Amino acid sequence: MSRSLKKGPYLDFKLIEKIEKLNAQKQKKVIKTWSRSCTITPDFVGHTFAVHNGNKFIPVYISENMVGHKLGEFSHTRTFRAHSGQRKEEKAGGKS
Amino acid sequence: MPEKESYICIGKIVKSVGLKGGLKVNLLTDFPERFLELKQVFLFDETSDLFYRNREALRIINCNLNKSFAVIMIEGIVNRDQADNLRNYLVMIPEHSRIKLPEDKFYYYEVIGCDVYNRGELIGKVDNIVNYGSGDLLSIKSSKGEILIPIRDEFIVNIDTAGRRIDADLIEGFC
Repeated sequence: MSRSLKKGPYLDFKLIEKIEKLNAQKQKKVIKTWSRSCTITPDFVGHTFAVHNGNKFIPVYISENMVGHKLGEFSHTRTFRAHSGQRKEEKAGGKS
Repeated sequence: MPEKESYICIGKIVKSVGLKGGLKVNLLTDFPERFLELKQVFLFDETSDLFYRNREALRIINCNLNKSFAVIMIEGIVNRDQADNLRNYLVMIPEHSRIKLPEDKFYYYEVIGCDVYNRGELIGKVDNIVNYGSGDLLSIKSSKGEILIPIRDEFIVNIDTAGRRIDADLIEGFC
């Protein structure tokens, strides 16, 4: 069952305060948080959060298309470990 | 004869298909359509660390591509028993025949082991590339432990795979 629209999205106000402070100072720094259920608002865009996944903090750079999702969606708690060893696979990546 | 390091892996044989020596290959490449143009491959056994038939190039006579796997027929593999013997072999190609990437892209294996510098200061070596849902992250082994850095223009200034060097511009809180 989805959250009531009357309440609006869940926001962690401590996190919002930190973002507002950084925005006022025009500063950027990694914000550590355990608040995985906090909804990403447009104010978060361009900031980097270190979201705890139960084991470690995962850096999440917030982009526009993440707005409306929860922080925890970008910090998986379970990781699939492939048994690739040191083999050279034809897998490519690049800066996004 | 070229070294094992000069080959890259594009798939892994997982089982035989049919009675005529078909091989189901799990794709370990970002370019699955390359299987349709492949003329020959090499097979490598990870457990014995040896190439099949002493590094003989094997000709592909037929290939069917599916979403996540390919079914290939190799010349000389004509029945199910022969195909079953090739289970768990890796499908390799010479490194020089890999797909050419645009300038801003790189293969993961090229980046692993590179030194990472933050504003000119060495912070560690790339240990792995991981993804926790928000995009690829460089996992760096440093003296302080593991450091994760998103592979984004905002943090990564330059990746020099030939010089084995990555220049980063990190904000407060990463290290």
